[in-house]
Amino acid sequence: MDSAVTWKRVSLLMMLLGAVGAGAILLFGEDVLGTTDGVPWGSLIATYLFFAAASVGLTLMASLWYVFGVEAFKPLTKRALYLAIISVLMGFGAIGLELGRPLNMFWLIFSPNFSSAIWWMGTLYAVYLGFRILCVYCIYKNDERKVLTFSRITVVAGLLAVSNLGSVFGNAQARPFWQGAAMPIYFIIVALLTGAAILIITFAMLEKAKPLGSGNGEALLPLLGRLLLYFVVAFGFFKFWYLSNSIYGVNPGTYEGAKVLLSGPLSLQFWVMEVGLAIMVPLFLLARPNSYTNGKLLWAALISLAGVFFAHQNFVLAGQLAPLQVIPGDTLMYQQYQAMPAEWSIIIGGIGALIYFSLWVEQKYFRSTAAA
Amino acid sequence: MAKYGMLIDAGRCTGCGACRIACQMQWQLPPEIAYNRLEHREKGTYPKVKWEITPVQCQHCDNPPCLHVCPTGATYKRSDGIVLIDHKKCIGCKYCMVACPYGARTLDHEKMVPEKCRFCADYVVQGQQPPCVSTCMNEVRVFGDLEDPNSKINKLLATGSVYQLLPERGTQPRIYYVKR
Ligand code: SF4
Repeated sequence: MDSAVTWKRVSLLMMLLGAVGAGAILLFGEDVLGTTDGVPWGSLIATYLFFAAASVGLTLMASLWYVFGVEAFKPLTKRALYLAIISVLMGFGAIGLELGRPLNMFWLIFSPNFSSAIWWMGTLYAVYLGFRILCVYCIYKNDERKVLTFSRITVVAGLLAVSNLGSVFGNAQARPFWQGAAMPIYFIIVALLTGAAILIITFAMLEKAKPLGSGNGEALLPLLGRLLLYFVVAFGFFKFWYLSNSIYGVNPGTYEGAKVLLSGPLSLQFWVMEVGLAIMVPLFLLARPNSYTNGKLLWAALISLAGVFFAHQNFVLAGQLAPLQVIPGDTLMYQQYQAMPAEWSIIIGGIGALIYFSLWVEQKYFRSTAAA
Repeated sequence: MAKYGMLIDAGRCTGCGACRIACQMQWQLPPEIAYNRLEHREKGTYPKVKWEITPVQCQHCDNPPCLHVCPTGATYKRSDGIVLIDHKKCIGCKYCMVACPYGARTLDHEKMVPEKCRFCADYVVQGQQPPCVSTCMNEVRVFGDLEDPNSKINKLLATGSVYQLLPERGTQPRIYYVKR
């Protein structure tokens, strides 16, 4: 397990970097973030979206067996479950750092505002995580009946949580680029894409680690590759129509948001990092299922994950860089945003923590049970 | 019960910024934080160009999106129409900043609360005027009770032609602007 040791060290270093960034944010607050009054939500929100959507994506992938009974996906379920828990915890970490006054969160219980999508987001994700943990506990106790029940509840809670995440943006009528009923659907697509990509990476790595690995990757990986292909196509399809309609409609705010991505300040990041990494390269690698190799699938998954992160960042920023038109007829300038080192370090630290804890669970739980 | 509102005659504004400073003094704000701002824009084409200034601040909306999105009810509306923030309930999620179509919120980096104009809530109930109103040499702002038919603001609203900012958003702002 030489590579596991190397990965543990690398991920520890990444976590250390994340801890430095977290320390800087805790000490200096908003001053070390790229956010401004004009762009109040930045990369930490994108990081949160990435992990929170990934978690539900993993849960949905696990549900293919637990809820829908598709036998082929049975081997991935347990790993998907623990990855889902780690992922959502990383997401909570990112949003915890983004919140200016996280200690006041108990008011979510004592003074709830039911009309707030963020209140629902917190509640649904808490319910989702609670049942997810219960599921794992029941697996540990070998109580299959309860696993099934809790899995079903978790899938519903997860779907509600991730679609509500979309409606946090979809509700924001001051930001027309985000606003609309399409957002919850978009978040479900991104969740599935992210979940499939993470599982491909997990099983491709397990295959590499054979004979110690017990991932059943040989049978699973091509299946997951096909799923990833479908999700990438769905993602690209959504982006194409969303942006072309935004441009065609010339609705105030929506049009400007699309312009930010297509030819404005985020155009390079959009065309290269989002269209290139999240759509084009994975499509190229995954287009012919007969030619799948583990290496190819691993690269497709890694690249699409990087692309999805930038897609989240583009999405969050495009809605805000297009300025608010408060005075009719104003000539408007784009808002400015630049992700700061503290924000990058949290992203790197979050990914490091996901790798580290996945390895830890793998060795502690799966290896020991395999050995037994 | 009074319902407070404001009328702004932006055509009178010289852009001196005294309203901003008076507000900063009132609330002991650092120089980089302001609860009101002046929007500048050039209008027309050469040689017939005009420089227009529009004072903008929290509109104390009757249907405030910032209140609807606040997860803990930290943003609330008093029965006199003033929209305020309860600091102790604010979690600093900044959803109100994202939701406000007027860009009226500004983050207080020390308290980590998205702040905004308070319509000088504690002072106006004692009959005082907000300093952005009283300090202005050209009487750009008129503040008063929209429920009182004899208030100066109501008389002016009845005689002049006014508009609101972004009425299509359905926020029902309590600040009116005199048409130029
Ligand atoms: S102007 Fe903005 S901050 Fe003020 S009440 Fe309306 S939505 Fe809230």
